Amino acid sequence: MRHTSALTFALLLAAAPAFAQDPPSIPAPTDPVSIGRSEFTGKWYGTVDLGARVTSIDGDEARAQRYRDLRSGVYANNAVFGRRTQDFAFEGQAWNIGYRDQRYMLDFQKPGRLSASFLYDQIPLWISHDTRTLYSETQPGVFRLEDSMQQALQAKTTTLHSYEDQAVQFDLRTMRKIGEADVNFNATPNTAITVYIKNTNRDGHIPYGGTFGFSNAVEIPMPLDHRTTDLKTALEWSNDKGMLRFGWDGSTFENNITSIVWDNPLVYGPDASGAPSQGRHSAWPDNTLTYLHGTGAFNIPGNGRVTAYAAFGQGRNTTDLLPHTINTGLASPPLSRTNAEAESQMTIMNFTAAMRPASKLYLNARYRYADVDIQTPEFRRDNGQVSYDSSLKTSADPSEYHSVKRSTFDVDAAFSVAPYTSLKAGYSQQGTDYTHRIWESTSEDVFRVSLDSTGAQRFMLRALYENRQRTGDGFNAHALEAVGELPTMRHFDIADRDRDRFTFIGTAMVSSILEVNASAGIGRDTYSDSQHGLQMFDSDQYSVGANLAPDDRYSLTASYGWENYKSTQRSRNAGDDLQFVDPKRDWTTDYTGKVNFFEAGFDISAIERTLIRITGDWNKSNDTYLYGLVTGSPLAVPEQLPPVKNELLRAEIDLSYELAANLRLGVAYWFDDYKVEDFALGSETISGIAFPPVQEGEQAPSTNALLLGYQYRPYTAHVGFVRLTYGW
Amino acid sequence: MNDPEKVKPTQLNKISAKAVNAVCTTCHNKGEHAQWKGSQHEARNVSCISCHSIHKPMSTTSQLKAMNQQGTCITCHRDKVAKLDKSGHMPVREGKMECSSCHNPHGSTNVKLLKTGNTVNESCTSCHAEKRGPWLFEHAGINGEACSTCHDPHGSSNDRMLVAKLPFLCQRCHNHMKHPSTIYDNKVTQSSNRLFSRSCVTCHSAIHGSNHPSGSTFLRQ
Repeated sequence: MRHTSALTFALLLAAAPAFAQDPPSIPAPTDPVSIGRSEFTGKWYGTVDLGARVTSIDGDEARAQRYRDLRSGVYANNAVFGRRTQDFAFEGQAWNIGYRDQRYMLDFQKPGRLSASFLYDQIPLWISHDTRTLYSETQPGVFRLEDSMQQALQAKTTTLHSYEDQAVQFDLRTMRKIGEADVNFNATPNTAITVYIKNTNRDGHIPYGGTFGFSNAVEIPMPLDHRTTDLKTALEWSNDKGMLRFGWDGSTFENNITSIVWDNPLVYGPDASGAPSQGRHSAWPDNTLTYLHGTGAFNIPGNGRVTAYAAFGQGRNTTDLLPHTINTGLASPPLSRTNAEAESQMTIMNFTAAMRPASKLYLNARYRYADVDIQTPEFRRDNGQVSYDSSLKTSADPSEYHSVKRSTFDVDAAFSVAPYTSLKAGYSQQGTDYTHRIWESTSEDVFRVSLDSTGAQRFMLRALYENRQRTGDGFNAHALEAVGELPTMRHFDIADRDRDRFTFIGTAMVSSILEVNASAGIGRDTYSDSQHGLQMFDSDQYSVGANLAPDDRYSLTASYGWENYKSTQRSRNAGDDLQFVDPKRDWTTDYTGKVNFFEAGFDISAIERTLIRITGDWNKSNDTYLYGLVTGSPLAVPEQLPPVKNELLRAEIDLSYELAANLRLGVAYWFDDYKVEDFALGSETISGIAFPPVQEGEQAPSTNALLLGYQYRPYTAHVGFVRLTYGW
Repeated sequence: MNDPEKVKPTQLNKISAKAVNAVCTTCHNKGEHAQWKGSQHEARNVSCISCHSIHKPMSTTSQLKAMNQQGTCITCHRDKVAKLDKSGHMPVREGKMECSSCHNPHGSTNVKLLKTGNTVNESCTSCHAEKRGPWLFEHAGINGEACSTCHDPHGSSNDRMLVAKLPFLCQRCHNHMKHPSTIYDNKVTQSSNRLFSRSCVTCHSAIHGSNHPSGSTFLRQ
């Protein structure tokens, strides 16, 4: 009985949400102290790491701690406390207590009756420590500059560069706080009621564009203060023959900041056409999404099962609209309506049938229907619009909405050609209808064949080849003409495309202590009908690796991978109608991407009472974008851009020593080294907040951009830990 | 009656994947396991013990054979797990998310084994709800379609996890006259706001959709 209960507990806990991955702000113990988790005596048990951390970061400390908090100080981590009896299990866990990335979890299980869990998690996002701004946020969402500065810039008696030193440094960061609860109650052995609720608050600032025209680009620290609340409820009935499930899901997004207003650095006023003294955005609109859904499944002869799912949903945004402009020097066109009245209706259906009509034959068929129908009424702008809060157009096109309706039919047949080996052939047909896209519909045929050899003790092999051919129907030339696109442009997400993919994974036990593995992934996309736009995309990914475990005291894993990517896209540079039809003005961008990565881990338990873990991983990418011109091109030969490079090296060593059965001493060291070169965001380009930057000896030119100084910088981080792990 | 001395326990590592799955799904056929039959992994002969270990799990939860989910999924999805180390990434390697934050490997009613929502967009906007819409002005190819047209959710070397760097990504679809189809070369890296810093979205900041009456080209939100 005890063993059955223990197994039941283990299985149930395995079904619990997997919250408990150790977050690596603090090293996970490689040797958990024995705790009373496997006992069902009702005694309280627990474990906790108490330690201290010393951190030194040279370079971009924001990127080094992008989603984590590595500040020096004492810490309490991996705290577990709980109690188990034959009737219930209760456990609480806490990580990084008191730090920005802290997390807490409670879980209660009464087997066969009730499971409940609660999670509170904080996810910091530290974007930049280099950011500076001349703006002051006088109230949430309102950014002001010094009047004297605006006046001087408007009068052109100075330039923005002279104010660089007055910009105030601030940390550009956000914080996401998540609280969620999940309850599953078995009203009867066959009936379960689930309730899930999640609340996410996010605040902080992110970089955001607030531009006033081609020659007046502005970046503002967009404030965030919003909340998303999700509620999901379901009733499920099941037995050994089938199941029924009905549920309702609802989600609301609420933004506490409804609009953003910011000063124009180059204009103090009075407002005029082409010269707004300030700009205004609406912030992200409040929205809701609700779904009613049902699932049914039942077993059929041939060890099979049929499943059906249907969902009906609605999305809404009923936010009041701002006027066209805040520029008092323009007559803001009247609005054709004052509310967004934005609405989408979704109908989703899935049907799956899986069966095994013969011992060596397995059949699988699926049909999926997804209709995203945008029901927002057309927003007319017969009286015009205002661009950048600056220039008035006396008429403008109404809004257009892009509904998508997709049907996908899949069928697979797998044959057991040898013990533990199956050969599978499959076909899919996907048809999609669009509104206001270049094609009225697309159709995609997919053929695939795969070989899976698993279950053998010494090797595993999986290989898949897939061919996809997508073609469009009902070419809608207006979709291109209306926006001034080349008639030969094809948007790559729905353009005619031939795709071939091959993937392979293999593992072999060479001996009782050595396993080797290899993988390959090759993809070829060709957009044969696209004279302009994306023309082709190739991807090649390979890896080799080995796991060596001569005995229980040592284990070594290592793998190396390399990836190559290539694409070509074609455009035409034109400034007037004559140039627009001149094919000699075509140009291409050839992209080449190379990635190399290596990872290794070494565990040693050969020394008495001591565990040592050493891990390392290295990832390097190199992307180039090369411009090309056609023969006889009248365009100036472009100066090629430098490559974009990223390289990250991480190494960790963790050593723990058993002082007593319930006490371990641990020390750890982490090393992170990041290198980056980026022509758009690297520190060679982003050297200040006013652009273009002033060269030494030159007079400051008229500025055309006021930025935040967010840039990509390298960093090197050293983090040392010492900890005591205590259990009871 | 069966004599316990003569009944041999089933050895899961000696039977086919389908047979293993039939054993486990005797109990694990509800909730997040309800869609297992006919799912992508089941159809590829993945068995429960491909990922889980009943007697010797290495993970602290979910009885995984590896120490964590990344170590489990990398067995077959090495390219996806490798992307997590790229500079643009979700907080997976920091321990704030894991593969099952987005995917249900046991089967799902959504595409790509996504566990939340009914489309790719609904999965992404379950956390990024500010981009959910619906909008007054939509960006074709995004709303109702897939965030993955422009973003690589597993990781990218580009800022904001884009599949290609700006302005090149935008120029794959936008070729019209004047600035969209201009060549932005090395001569203008420090002078053209279409190239440095946020590139196209320095101006077209409401790129996911606009609720502004003048927002048809996403200059204002």
